[in-house]
Amino acid sequence: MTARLANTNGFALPTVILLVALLTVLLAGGLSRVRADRQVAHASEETGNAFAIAQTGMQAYMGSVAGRPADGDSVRINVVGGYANVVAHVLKTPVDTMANQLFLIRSTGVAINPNIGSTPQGRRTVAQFAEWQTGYIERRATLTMANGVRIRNGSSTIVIWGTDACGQEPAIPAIRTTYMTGPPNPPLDTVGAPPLVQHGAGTGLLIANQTDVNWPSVVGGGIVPDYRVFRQGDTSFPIQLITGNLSVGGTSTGSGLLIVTGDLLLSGTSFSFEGVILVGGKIDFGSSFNQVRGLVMSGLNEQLGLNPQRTEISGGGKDLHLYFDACRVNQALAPLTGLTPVQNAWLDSWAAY
Amino acid sequence: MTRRGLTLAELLIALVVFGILGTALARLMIGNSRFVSRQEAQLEARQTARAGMNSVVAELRMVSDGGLIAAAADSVTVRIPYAFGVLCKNQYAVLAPPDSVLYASAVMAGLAYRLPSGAYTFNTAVTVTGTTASTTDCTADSIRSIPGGIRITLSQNNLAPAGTIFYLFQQITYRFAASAALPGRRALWRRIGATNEEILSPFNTAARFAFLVGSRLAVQTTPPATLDSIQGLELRLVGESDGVPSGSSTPAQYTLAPRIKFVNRVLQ
Repeated sequence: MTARLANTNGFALPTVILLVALLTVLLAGGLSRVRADRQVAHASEETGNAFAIAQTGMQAYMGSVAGRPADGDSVRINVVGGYANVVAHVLKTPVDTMANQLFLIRSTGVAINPNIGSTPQGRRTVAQFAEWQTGYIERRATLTMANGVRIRNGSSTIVIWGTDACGQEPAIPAIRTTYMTGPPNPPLDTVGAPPLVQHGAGTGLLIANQTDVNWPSVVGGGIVPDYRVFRQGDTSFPIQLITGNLSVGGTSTGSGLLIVTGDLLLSGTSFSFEGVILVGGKIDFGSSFNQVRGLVMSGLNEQLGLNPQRTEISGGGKDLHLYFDACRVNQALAPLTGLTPVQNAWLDSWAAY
Repeated sequence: MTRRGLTLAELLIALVVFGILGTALARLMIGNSRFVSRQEAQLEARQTARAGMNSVVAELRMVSDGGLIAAAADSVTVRIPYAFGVLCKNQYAVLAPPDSVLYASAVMAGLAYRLPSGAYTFNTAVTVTGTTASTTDCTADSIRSIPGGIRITLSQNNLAPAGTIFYLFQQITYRFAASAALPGRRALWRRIGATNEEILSPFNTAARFAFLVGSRLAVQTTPPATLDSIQGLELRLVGESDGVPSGSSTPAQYTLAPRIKFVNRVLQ
């Protein structure tokens, strides 16, 4: 080894150390910023997850409540990615025990990512006004027509009975309406509680209101239907909500709760239905054979301040058979019992209480 | 003792070697520096867009029928609920527990009560005159107060039947306009009453509102003639970095476009 190499101090090591330190500082700074950004993104994502969990918990609660909840009823619902704490508070208890109770349902979603730890990573509270619906309907007559009725004379059979076909409830009048042409020829075959035919029973609005059907709420989305079309041949008693007019022809059968916001126009060979029919406008019983076992109401648009046309009972061989049947009425209304969200009354970022 | 010097050839070789190494190192450092600069700019742009989304989405989601009262590509004016409750008879009402900070800082623009159809009627003349400890007027209507709720008195009597759901609202205008904090750039402004504040900047000139129209929520860049047909908004938040990253001539951009359906809206 030469003296030159032995005595010269090198600078490679300090240079390398300096460069490594410099790169380490730069890398650490960069990583720190990326980590901060990821944390912000993660927090935002978990808040979104908590929101979804809160909504899921709310819907699961409302769909699963079997009986009317007590004030302050609370439950924890576990869902994928966390859990929701749901609390129901009564806001209004009407004196009429059959009327709907108003609730406020609050759901706090808590998001937990087990890869990060057991500490909640996101929390969000939403709330929803909801009504406990009893699914009850006032049975004032087998055929209630707030819009009046025009009966055309002819060789038709018109049978409207107010006696309960399943024998569970007292008999009710056959017809209740504001106006009726008459006397029809041939005469009506009516059975039930007197007076069998109540015409001139009040204004259309009065008769519509006395049904206790909250028609504005029904039209405004207060009922969530199973279908938005008429279910021909369906015997499962679904809720069918048709917006506008409904025309049914041919040979038709159906069941459940049939709601038509416009007119119900029947034609063809026969129409047979089991359950409850609620119509905003008129009904034209224009089928050759019209039969309903349950309850029928028309002219409910009177509640909206509209003036629907009169219901038509056609003559000329178009038979009409209406039978009050409490069992089929109850079966048709059974799906309505439960907590139903009040449309357009949803709250975000609500206080926990 | 004699020391040998470096020969010219050794010196030249050393210079060339150091030159090559130095150039490579410099290119590496410059590239790395530009990469870091671009990444930082992207982070800034992303944070601007994300913060804009977080601050606006929760408010807009609660908008109801009649809640959107003006709309343009660069601004919307909405009535945002800040407290919900139920009307009692006379001038009394109960509020469900509101967010205390929001409730204390809100600038009330009116009250909206819900019709049985689900639509809302707005009253901009009514005010909250105070709170009351009395429960008589509400319990007479079988209306209860939730723990943490507030019983209030209103300036008008019998606005709607007892038991009617209502909310108190603020009128808020969101606008993309020139930034005061960063001259020459755009910012998202929020006006409540007489207070106009720049809540976030900078945004690109492409930042704007689009409109979700009809039951299919079709996206339109210009508002329809009838605001009632607007079912929600799309926020096109094109965030920018504060500065121009090295090696680039324009600020970095990051786009978020959340779609917000007005939940308290009758779907048409």
